[in-house]
Amino acid sequence: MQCYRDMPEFIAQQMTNLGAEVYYHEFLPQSKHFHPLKFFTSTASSMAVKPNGTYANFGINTIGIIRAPRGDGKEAIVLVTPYNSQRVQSNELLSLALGFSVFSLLSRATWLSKDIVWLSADSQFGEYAAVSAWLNQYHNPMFLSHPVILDTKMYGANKIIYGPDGTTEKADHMSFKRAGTMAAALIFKVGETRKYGDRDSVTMYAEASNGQMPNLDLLNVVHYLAVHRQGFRVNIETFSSLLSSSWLKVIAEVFQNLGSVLRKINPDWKLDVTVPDYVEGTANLANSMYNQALGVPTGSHGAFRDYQVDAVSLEYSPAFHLRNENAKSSFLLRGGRLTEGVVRSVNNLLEKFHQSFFLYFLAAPSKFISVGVYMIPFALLLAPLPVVASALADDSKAKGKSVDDCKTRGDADDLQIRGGSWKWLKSARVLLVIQIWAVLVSLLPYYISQIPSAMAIQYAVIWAVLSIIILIALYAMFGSPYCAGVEWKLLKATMITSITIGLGLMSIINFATAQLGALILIPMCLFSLPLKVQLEMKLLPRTVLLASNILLTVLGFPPAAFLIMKGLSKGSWTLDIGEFWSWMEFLWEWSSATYLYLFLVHLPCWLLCIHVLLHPCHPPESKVKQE
Amino acid sequence: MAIRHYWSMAAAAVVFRLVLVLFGGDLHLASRPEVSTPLTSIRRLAEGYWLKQASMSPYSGSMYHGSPLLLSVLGPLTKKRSIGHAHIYCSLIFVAVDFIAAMLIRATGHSLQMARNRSLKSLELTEAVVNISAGDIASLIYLWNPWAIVTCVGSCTSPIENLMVVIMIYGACSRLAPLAAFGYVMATHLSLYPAILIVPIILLLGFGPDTPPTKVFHLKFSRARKSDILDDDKSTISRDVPHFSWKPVFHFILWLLFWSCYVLLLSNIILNKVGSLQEMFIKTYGFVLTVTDLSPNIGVLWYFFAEVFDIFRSFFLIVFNMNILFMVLPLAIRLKHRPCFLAFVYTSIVAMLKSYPSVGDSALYLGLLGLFANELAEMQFTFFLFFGYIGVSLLSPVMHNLWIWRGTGNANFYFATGLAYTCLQTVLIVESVSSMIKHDRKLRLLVTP
Repeated sequence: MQCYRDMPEFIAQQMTNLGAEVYYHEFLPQSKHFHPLKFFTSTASSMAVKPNGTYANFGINTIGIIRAPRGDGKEAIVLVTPYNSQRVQSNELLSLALGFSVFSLLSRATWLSKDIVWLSADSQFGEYAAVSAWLNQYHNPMFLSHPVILDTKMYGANKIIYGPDGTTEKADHMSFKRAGTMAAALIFKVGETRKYGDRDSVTMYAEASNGQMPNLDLLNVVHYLAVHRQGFRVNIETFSSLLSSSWLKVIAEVFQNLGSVLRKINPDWKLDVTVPDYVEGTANLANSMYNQALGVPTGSHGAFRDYQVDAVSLEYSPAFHLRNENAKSSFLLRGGRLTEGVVRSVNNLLEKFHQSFFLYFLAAPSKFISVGVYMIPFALLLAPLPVVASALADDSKAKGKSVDDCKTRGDADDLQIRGGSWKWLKSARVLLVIQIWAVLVSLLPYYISQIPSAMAIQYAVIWAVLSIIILIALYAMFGSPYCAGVEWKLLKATMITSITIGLGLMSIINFATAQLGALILIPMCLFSLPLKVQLEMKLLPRTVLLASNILLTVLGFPPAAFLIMKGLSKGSWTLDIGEFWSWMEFLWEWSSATYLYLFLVHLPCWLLCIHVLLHPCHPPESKVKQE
Repeated sequence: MAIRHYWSMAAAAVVFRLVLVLFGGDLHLASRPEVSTPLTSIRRLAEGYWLKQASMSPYSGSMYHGSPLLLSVLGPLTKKRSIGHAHIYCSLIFVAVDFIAAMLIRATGHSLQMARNRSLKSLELTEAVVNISAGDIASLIYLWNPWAIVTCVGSCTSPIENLMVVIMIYGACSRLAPLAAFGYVMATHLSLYPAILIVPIILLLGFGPDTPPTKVFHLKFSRARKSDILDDDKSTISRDVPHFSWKPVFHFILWLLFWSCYVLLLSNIILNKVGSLQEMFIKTYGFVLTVTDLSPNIGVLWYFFAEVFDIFRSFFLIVFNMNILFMVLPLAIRLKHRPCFLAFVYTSIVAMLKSYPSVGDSALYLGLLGLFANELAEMQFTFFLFFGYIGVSLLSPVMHNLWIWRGTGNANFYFATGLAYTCLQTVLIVESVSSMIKHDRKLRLLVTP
């Protein structure tokens, strides 16, 4: 008890001894809310915290600032060491020690031209909460609209920390101090697990919310210094199941053989990739894409990215035992040098890193796939959609016209709106109804989650039932799509156009999501053909088409896709709807755009696809015959 | 044939706006560059009102660029701020303004329809008479247009500008010279660009609402003479050929002078002791014409004038402002028999090329487009245009977010959507004009089989 209450004070004492400005930042854990649109309305006022006063507990960040002797205080570099003040582990002590040693070195450095902020973040509510609460107050000064909470709670807290005699010091230590625009942030911590190997290793985490990445230059600096100067092994997160998968190895071998053959033809073509390289690259790339597509930050660096600050998390995994003092001091030396090197690199920057290196996937710590490369396959994937849509729309129009022409040639009622060019309005109406449905379905969890103390599975069932009821109600209000006699070609054209817009937008917001979604949606849309029309085809194409339709439609339904993904990755095929709910909850709590994509682009498209498949096809034709 | 459930749909649109205004929370619509421009922003109006209350010129600084009349009408309402929604009273007024505008569009549509049916009957094209009420369609488009809703909820003054344009067209269609003159003076006073609408207004007052071209009537007339029809028939046909009548035009000009003097006098009274009319002209019309505010909007001028060298600035200012004027005369000659349609074309050109465009301007011309639903039934590329407009209006906030908030994009991203938007508008104008001309040609062919 005494130990963890003393911890911030001890750190503050050490910082003060180094001549740094010190203050405490107290924060309450933010309760998780349903705010899927936050990423989009990230204006200052909407980011203001609304602390929930019911918590008896609060976290205390300790912040030290070194003013740069050669700077003007307009820019700062942030170092973050998270530790859990409730239960300090030896690895966290080591990371605090690392932070302290760097900080004490920098407090004597004469070359600093940017202020150094050391944030020892209290991670008892998670690292992200601590860092984001501090950043929030840093950027959005709170003109306290909740004075009551602060007076009662925080004042009581101060007494706990300082005791009765620290009144003057307290006032000084409680005022929030700032140090200019943040140029970059470095989060480092020592991992709990010891990894056996010849060298200490560092794992870089970079993915922030909605697939945003820090500037690639920052990663390059860290990687270069870690590998070439300090002799660390640098890793990034990877899918370990892919590393041992045999089918990937087979593909890798094919590529290797192909590459070596090509090399024999022309030695200048350096296309051969060795099998381990290929497998590892694929596993890394898959993980990078997965993390970006999820849209949930992989660590506290995500909080920095929300304020356009480049940040990277480094997790050291020492190869020695934590009680080994010699190894520890050598580790502190090398880790400190790495941090110092990064600080020096950023310190000398006159401007921000260039803006064009934000969009990339990591295939290895030092290899990346740039936006210029990965946009090409996506654009090729998307390219058929407008072509098909315009062909379908045009086809349907031409058909309508020819019927008119043969029937009413020379008649004067050519002037009537017979829907030659406006016939798509009906299908646009269907699209509108389905989009309204999708918006309602995506907003439902906000109300459902207000129901207290229910199981995830109950929430999920309520959600599903309500969605179906709403759909039926909307059809009752606006008429079901088949009543109005919508042509299936126009319906398909509308569907394809809407997903072109949806995927195009999503590729700008979060490319990885759009890419993964496009792989399912685009074939699903392009292959969709009414079952009645399929009956007129020959047997072989019919079965192939039917099979692909069924397969893609099942894959396209988000819960089914989730189940299959879970089954493939974990090998457990138990059907649990509640898990889907908790998964979605996870997404909207982190305000991931993937949630919006799933419910505003993916789900409506899937429903439209079902409509196309089940289209009766007959009513319009019979109408023509009657006339 | 009126549209079924017209009134319930119109009421639903109003209720929807009210719900958004009262319960929508703070949607930050007033700060979106697509919605509010330096001319129409209510926040700037509140600032101007504050300055005026503090006995300073509302135009001091570079905050306010609107009319003094708006200051005295809307200004007091901006002071009462409620929690949640910043300018709730103004928004409520704009809801009413939108509704009135929609009703006027509907009335315009009815008078257009009557004129159309009359002229088609006199051409003996009774089978071409269609009974789809274009006025109902147009007013519903205006009421349910998401952009109109966003503009209304976001509390910009563009609904008032739109209302004035609609009043002017309605007054001219029903040959109410005082009303037309009032709308014209107010619209010009508020946003300058509607000044070019004087051409369609005078045509409307002189010839009456849209008719098929005069040539068609003459053809019919000569045919009738050939086929030796009775004299009284001839006279009815010759009576239906529109003639230019000078009397309403003369009235209009008198009223125009009267209203202009009145508006200037009122402005002078409001600005008394805190500013002058000269300052008002410099800060409103001068601000519009010289494009001094280069903050991003959905138009294309801000980017151009941010990039252009200073020495060329005045030259390109002349070019861009003349660009609108260049199109006035040719279009007027080609479409002189359809003054209402001409007004629509002018409005859309202005919405595309004006210095500070917003989606509110587009809401106006899209509403007016509905008035010609019968004539434009065979318009091309409507599918493309519809989804293009949807795509651009979704893309624009995303690009803005990418540029301003995330920092992973730059100004070109946002400007690209502005370009795409301008292209879409160009296609819309070209297609609508060409299909209108095609429609006229078809009428001529129908008269001479």
